[in-house]
Amino acid sequence: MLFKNGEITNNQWIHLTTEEIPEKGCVTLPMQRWLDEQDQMTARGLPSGVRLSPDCDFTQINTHLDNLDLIVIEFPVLADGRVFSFSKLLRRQGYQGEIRAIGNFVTDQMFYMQKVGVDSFELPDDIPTQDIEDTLNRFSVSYQ
Amino acid sequence: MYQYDTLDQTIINERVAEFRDQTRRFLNGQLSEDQFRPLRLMNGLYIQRYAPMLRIDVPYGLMSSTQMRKLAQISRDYDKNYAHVTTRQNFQLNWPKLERVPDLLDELSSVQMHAIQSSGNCIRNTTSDPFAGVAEDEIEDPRIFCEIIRQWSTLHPEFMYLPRKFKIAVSGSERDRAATKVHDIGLRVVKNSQGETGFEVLVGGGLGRTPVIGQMIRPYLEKQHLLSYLEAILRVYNLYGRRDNKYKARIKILVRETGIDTFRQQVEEEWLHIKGDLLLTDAMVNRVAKRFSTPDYESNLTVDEQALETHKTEHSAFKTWMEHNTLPHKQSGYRIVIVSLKAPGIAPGDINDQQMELVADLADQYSYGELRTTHRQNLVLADVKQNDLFAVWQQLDTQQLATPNYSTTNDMICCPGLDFCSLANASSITITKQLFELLDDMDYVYDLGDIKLNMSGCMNGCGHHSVGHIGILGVDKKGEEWYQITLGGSSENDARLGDRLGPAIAKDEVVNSISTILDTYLQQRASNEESFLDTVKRTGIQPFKENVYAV
Repeated sequence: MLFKNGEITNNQWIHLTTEEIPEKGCVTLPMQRWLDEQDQMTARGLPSGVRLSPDCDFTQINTHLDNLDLIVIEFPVLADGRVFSFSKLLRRQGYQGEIRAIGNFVTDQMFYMQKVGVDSFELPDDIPTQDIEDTLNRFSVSYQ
Repeated sequence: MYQYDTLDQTIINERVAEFRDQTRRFLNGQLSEDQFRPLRLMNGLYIQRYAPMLRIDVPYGLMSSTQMRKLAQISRDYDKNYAHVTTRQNFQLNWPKLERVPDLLDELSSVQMHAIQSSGNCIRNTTSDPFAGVAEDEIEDPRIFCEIIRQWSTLHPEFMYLPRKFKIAVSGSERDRAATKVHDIGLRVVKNSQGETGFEVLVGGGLGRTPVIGQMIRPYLEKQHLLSYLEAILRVYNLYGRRDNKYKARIKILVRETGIDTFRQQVEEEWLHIKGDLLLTDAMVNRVAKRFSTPDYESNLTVDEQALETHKTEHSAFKTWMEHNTLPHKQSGYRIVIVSLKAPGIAPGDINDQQMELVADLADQYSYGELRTTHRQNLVLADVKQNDLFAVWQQLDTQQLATPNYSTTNDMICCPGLDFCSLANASSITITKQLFELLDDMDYVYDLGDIKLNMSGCMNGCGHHSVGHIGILGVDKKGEEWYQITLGGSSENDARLGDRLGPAIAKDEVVNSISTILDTYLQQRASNEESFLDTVKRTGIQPFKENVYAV
């Protein structure tokens, strides 16, 4: 399920790996493929998204931020915290589109993610909504 | 002592609620062991050999009598009536039950204590000089900056999942008693040519499997840039620190593989982006500073020298204790008192509930209600009037807390070892028992002088063996406990790693070998004034090696 703006909402995006890019619909590609096929993506005239894995050099998309509607940060394992810095730096670069977390994170991390600029989350369907709301409102104050 | 404001208290209360919820979800199966592990670790909870171990923060080693009394009560209600002081100036409980940890944390929060980031791959408790604020050689009290770092690093949204643990130490004195050169980041207060104070910043030091002495990354950092510079280092580390191998994940490896000059460039480039936005203003410093209570010293205190002399004459044990376990204080009429947690028959750093209550009472009566923990696993009553020393000694002595061995060979650092820890290869506590038996003649011990003996039960190095003047490291050899000895290490201004003496030694030979090393020192020293460390530096390890491996 997709959690965004404080509620469960419909996911419009399809995440492609090696599959052919369809004519219609919003799609994301892994970073390298997006860089290779960006002309084709732009030519579609549809919303365009990229996926960043923790070990990619995410600075390669710095000059393309205006052409991106969605940046997905991936959590292959919950303890890989590089993507927290990715998100922080993308926002500092001025990226105003959506940043979405997918993968093996736990709800407890969502509070910290929203503070570094992540604004949507793809989660397993069996997570109670109450847990999500609890974690996002866990701390009423912070030092940073 | 720092007093929480509403913000501080709210954060720890909400953190307890979060941990209670995480524990509930783990116990009811919503969180797997793999998911729960990092969450519990960043709240100080390990699953150990026999039971969970909970590490409780004592920020920069400073605590109140109320907090100490609470720990005594908690050790009774949740544990086996004792606790352990660690080399990060924290307290550890060895037997709490997982289901009861949330309640235990609730009790801690009632006295402004917590277990936040006392473990895990995040920024750990910031350590400092146990004599901060009272040392004669202090340039500036480091504790305000330690507290500022504590707040900035607490639940920092970007840095909770670093490649590996991250430790910061701050020293405000000429003499480095905070081991800043063996920390991920070491900060030393220094003066610039205009006489203003700032920080020398060291980076990439650390103990553990690959001990490294930190390198200078910036000779002088203005205080207003403290947090932005730390954040720049942490961000570069979080992005580029290795995550493919946990033994290569500390910042020391990144600095070594990148090279200090390139690493510095990366940090300074990042720093330029943020130094304007993350300024530490005077107002922010004052907000923290004004929440520290400072002792209201009596000026022009008259020391009753005659009474002191009489006590010394009538009680030679008091005389010896005063010589060894008390130190000069910046305020005349006062002394710093070391409460030794290194008595025969007790694991170094262990303290029971009655002892905790006694030192809390003594702190209230004689030392402005404050206590400190030291990274060498002792306690300190920092502000005792000389006229009260005899009374303090008498009471400490009733609870085995007046062993006059501060800074001697049997004031050793020791990790819990195989007796408690699931990582250990070898026992460390049994070796310390044998060493105490070897070193029971205190005249001999005093003749040996200042020797820092550090012991770890495995190469993770919690006992700081690689920077001990004498280091002992437990290793596993085909299922048997063996011990590797190093000589000449130091964690102070002259920080260096000890040199390996030779092949590992069997368990029943360790104490004989140490005895041989100590005797060799007495033979080799150029004069009675030449310390063990200076002798080893001058002669090298050869004479020690020849004697130890002679048979």
